[in-house]
Amino acid sequence: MKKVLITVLIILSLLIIKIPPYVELNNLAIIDSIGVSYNDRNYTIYLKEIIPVKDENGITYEYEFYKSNGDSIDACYKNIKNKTKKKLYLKRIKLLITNLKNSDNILEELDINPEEILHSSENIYKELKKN
Amino acid sequence: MKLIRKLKKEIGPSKDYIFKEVEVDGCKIDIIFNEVLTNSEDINDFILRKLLILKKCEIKKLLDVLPNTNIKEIEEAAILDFVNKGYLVVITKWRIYASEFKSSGLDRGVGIVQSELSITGPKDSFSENFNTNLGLIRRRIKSSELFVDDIEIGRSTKTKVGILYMNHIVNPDLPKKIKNRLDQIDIDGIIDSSYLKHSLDSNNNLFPTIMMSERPDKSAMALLEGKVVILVDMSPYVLILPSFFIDFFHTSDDYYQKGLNTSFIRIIRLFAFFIAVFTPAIYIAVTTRNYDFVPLPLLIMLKAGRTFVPFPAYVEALFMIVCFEILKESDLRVSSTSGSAVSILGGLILGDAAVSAGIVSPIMIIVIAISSIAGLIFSSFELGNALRSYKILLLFLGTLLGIYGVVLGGIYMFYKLFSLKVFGVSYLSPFIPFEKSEILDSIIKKDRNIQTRNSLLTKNIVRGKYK
Repeated sequence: MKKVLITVLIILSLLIIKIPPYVELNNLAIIDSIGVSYNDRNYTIYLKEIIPVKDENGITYEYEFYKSNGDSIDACYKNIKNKTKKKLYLKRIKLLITNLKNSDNILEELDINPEEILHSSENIYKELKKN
Repeated sequence: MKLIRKLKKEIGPSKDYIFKEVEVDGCKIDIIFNEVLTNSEDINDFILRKLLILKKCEIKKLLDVLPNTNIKEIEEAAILDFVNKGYLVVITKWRIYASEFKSSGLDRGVGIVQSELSITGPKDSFSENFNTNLGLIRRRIKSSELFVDDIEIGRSTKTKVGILYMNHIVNPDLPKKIKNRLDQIDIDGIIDSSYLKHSLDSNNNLFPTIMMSERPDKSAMALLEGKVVILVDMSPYVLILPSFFIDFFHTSDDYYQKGLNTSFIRIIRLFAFFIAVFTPAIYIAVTTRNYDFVPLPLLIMLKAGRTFVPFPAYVEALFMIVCFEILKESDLRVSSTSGSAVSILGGLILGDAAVSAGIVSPIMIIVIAISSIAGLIFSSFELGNALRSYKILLLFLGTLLGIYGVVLGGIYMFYKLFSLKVFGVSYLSPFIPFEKSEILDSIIKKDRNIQTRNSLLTKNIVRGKYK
């Protein structure tokens, strides 16, 4: 009886708790910065992935950029998600660069909490590369 | 003689049994002994020479005239049993006598401790000889209150087993319970004290409840604590029971040092316990499912280490655990001279080559190495095995369910610890049930003026006072 109760409790807790999917670190795209530009009712999203490379001198960093256009931030993000095999990891974003005055919508839709938000009227991709 | 013919038939073609017929004052006497188990020179000096000068009337009272304290009268059916134990059997027309002449050449004497090393404590260790082992304890506890209850186990091996306890300290039910369990053993032979563990340790728990020790000082300490020590002939390890979880964190050296130093090292051992069990599972969980638990710089470093590794992290971890176990096993089984070569080959060359070849990541080597080395801090082989089993279980749970699985596995391990009882006492004593006086000699050790025993083990709790 005790064993059955414990098994039921474990199964119930498994249903309640959301277990994150299994993704190897090799297949994880750690996104360092995001750029969002809005022109002519069209959104463009840039994601900057940080790729650490180990060599004789220690760890060096390379960056890969993902770009997508769409009529909403969510659609752009889904486009990038579908294009890459890697899992996009946005929880540790350091920087958000956007030409939008109000960035709350971006934060909400992408569910991110960047350390710094830059509002710029320059080319977002170039700004992202610079930082 | 009919009896001799029957005995010769029973021993078959074995040539190490010696049958000799001597004539003493016109009366025939048969002597039987096994030449490999006995000392022939002593038999010649103390029995044969003495027998030849006896008179017929003296043969009837051999017990009084032979210069041997170990001589006794035996039954006809027990003749070969005594011969097999290293006795010389003298068969006269009237009675049968057996006198002990065990060969000392079969003993290696008192050795040096091999597996429970101590820096400041005694270095002597138990050997395969029952009497030597008993002597090593008696030399430490010179009290007639040290009771030795002998039994014989094994239809073929007839192994001598001694149940040792301090009569005025031990809970009287404990030796009785142990003796009852040992009496129930019906087996053709026991070769080592480990054989008894299966019948004494009846629970299905992976954690050991019986401590094996080769240290006489540790055994003497256990006896003075109100525990029971089981000596088995031909085994250099004694069994100490009941043993609780916390006992496996203690060493003899703890009692030879200041309390503060002992407390520090015991806390380190507790950390080592958790590191040994949880590290690989937590590593797998946070690098495959729960990245949020790791600071970003560390996550990036971990990712850099795994760039060229083609295997999933759990395969890599299992591969390393298996490699470590193979190395440990080969290091244990080969001689000490080859052992160092195995360590160098395995530890340095293979480890470095595996990283260079990109089969494993350097961080995985660190994780598995720290976990395995933490497990080696405990001298108990059985506890090491339990830690390994839980480590692998948690590794699977961590892979399947992430941190939640590790927590679930941890709860299961603690549930098993909480529910385990050793001869009616909780395995987690003195924490559960809480025993205030014993807490001061658990994870921490306080130098006290009054020395006490565990009240769950004995009613005689006061050991003494330092004046």
